[in-house]
Amino acid sequence: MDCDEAKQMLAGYADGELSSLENEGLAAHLEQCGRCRQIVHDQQRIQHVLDSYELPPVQDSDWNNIGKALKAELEGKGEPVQLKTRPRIEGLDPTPETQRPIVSAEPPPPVPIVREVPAPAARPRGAAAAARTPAMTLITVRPRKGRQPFRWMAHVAGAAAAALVVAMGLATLWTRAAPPLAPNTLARQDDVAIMELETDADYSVILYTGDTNDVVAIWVEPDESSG
Amino acid sequence: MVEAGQDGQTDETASQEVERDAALVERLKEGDSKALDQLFRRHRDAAYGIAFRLVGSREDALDVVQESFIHVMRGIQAFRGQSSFRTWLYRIVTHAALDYRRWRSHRQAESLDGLTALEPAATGPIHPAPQEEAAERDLQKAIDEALANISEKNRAALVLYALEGMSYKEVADALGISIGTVMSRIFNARQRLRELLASEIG
Repeated sequence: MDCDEAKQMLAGYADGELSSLENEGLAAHLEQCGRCRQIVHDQQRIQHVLDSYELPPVQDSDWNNIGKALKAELEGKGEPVQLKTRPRIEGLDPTPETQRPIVSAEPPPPVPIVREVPAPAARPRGAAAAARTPAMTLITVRPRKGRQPFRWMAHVAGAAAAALVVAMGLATLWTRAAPPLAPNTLARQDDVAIMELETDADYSVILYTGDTNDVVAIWVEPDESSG
Repeated sequence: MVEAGQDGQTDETASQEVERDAALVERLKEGDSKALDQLFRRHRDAAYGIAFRLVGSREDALDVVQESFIHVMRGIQAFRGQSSFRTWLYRIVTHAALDYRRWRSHRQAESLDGLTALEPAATGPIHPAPQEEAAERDLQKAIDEALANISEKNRAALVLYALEGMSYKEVADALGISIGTVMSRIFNARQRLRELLASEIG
């Protein structure tokens, strides 16, 4: 045992608070170390001084006044005492966390419902979305961020919407003669051409349809705050 | 039935004391004011001792004792007896005293606009000095001042152990820390006191 290790236990040794095993180990060190012996001596000496410490006396009248105030408080007489200190009982009782007492004369406040998933922010829809991109009419489906419980629904909805549009286009091609597709057009229904179909790594579908000057988009995109 | 004396001192053994307290606690839970009075009488001196050494003023210490027992009354229904009432009370007093110091500090900082140093934390008690020998009085004052100049955490551990006679285990329970930390804090507190009291004790 070196001095640093011994130092951790010198107070306990001076106070007789160590186990017999710890005492033996430390005693062996103290036999060899005059500096640590001196510290033990100092610790005991200070303790001896503290043992002589006397408190200033309290008058019986003081105790009686406090006793009366406590009784009045217990019996609910008069105004409740306005405290300068907090009932910081929590964390003090060595009972398990869930059993710690709550010191309060009032019933505990209701436990707030923890929302693991914050409410989604307002998304631009309809006119607002159009205003954002004047050249396009957007139908925007934004899956929620992360591990939200209904994220899969957005994916399904997006996939379904994409499939619907593709199916409509293919059906048009199947049922009637369609004008030749432009080189970059996947399908066409009436005046709407499916121009692009993209799937990103986040299982979102980005589907653009429309003619050159009147673009309609079904746009399924990941939440902007995700990632 | 063992009755506590006026000064709270009895001939009870430790286990009897715990049992007696537990019985009084149960009565207090039912609103028995006599049980409250007895608990108060049994523990008020010890509570005062802790409070005084932490706030450094007789009047403030009495205020802390009163508030601590109010905390006890308001929280008694939640006390399950998994620690002794004494340990539970000492925890309350210790933290109330530390709270009180902060309240006092804040209040003085506001009222005095920082022109005067914080009295209770920086000086000894303002009570009339006990009628003792001058040398002893000076030593008492020196101890008071020295205690006021060690950290709150170290002082709380030292007060509970060295001045209130609690074991390391009881101090650990009272402060919610490990026994190793108790030992460390007591060690540091006494080393600091040795420096501060060097001129008084040689």
